[in-house]
Amino acid sequence: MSDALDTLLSSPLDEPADNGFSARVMATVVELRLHKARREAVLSLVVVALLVAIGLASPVGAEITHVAELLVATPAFWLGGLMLALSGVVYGRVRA
Amino acid sequence: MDNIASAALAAAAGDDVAFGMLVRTYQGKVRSFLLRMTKGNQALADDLAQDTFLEAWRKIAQFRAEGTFQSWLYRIAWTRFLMEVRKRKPDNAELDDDLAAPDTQASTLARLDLERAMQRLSSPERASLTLCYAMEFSHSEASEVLNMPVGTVKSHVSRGREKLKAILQA
Repeated sequence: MSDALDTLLSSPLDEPADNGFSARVMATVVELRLHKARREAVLSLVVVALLVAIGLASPVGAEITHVAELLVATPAFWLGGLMLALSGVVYGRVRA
Repeated sequence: MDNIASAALAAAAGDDVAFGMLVRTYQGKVRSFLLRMTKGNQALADDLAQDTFLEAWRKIAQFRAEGTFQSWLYRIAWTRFLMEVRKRKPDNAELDDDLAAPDTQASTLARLDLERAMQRLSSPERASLTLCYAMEFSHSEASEVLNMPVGTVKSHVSRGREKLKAILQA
């Protein structure tokens, strides 16, 4: 009985056929990856916007903006754009 | 390093093609393990297997080739199964017997009897016997998967085997 039971227990389990199981799992993986990328893109925008806001609100940020305006006589709108781009580059490098 | 280990490391580095290969390689084994754990409930076993692979994908970056990928994957499967048991019964008991719609594909009467007898064992006994016999894990590997001391796994195997013998002889 013991030997028969051991043989029975040792026989490999019947493995169900794939029948699209792997494809379903991988389709969900792709969906999750897209969802994650979308969430990260939104998060990046929020972080950049926060950096710009902090830069503009802080005394140093305002000084730099003022000096830069005086030096190049560039309107604040374009400097804001420049800061946004710089913040994006810095954030991108930090993340990388 | 074997193919599985290299595929697991590639998947850990973000290679979805390598992860797909791991899914195709292990889907049958994981589903059959969970089928036995869920007492033959095919739909539940497949849901748990899908959850297992999705969780493996989320955590694959944490995989270090210290243990085998197989043990790591079965550990996730076992944890998902335990979570399902806890969700269904707050008192941490077994899956309901009425869940156990016998849907076994056993090809012989002996296999059918074994599957029925298996359903009367506790989850840890069923898992220990399945891993140590059918899946050919060592006691130490099974203890890693089940997160139990080796001695506990050995006693589950021995007790489960004795119970099976008694059930099958009755």
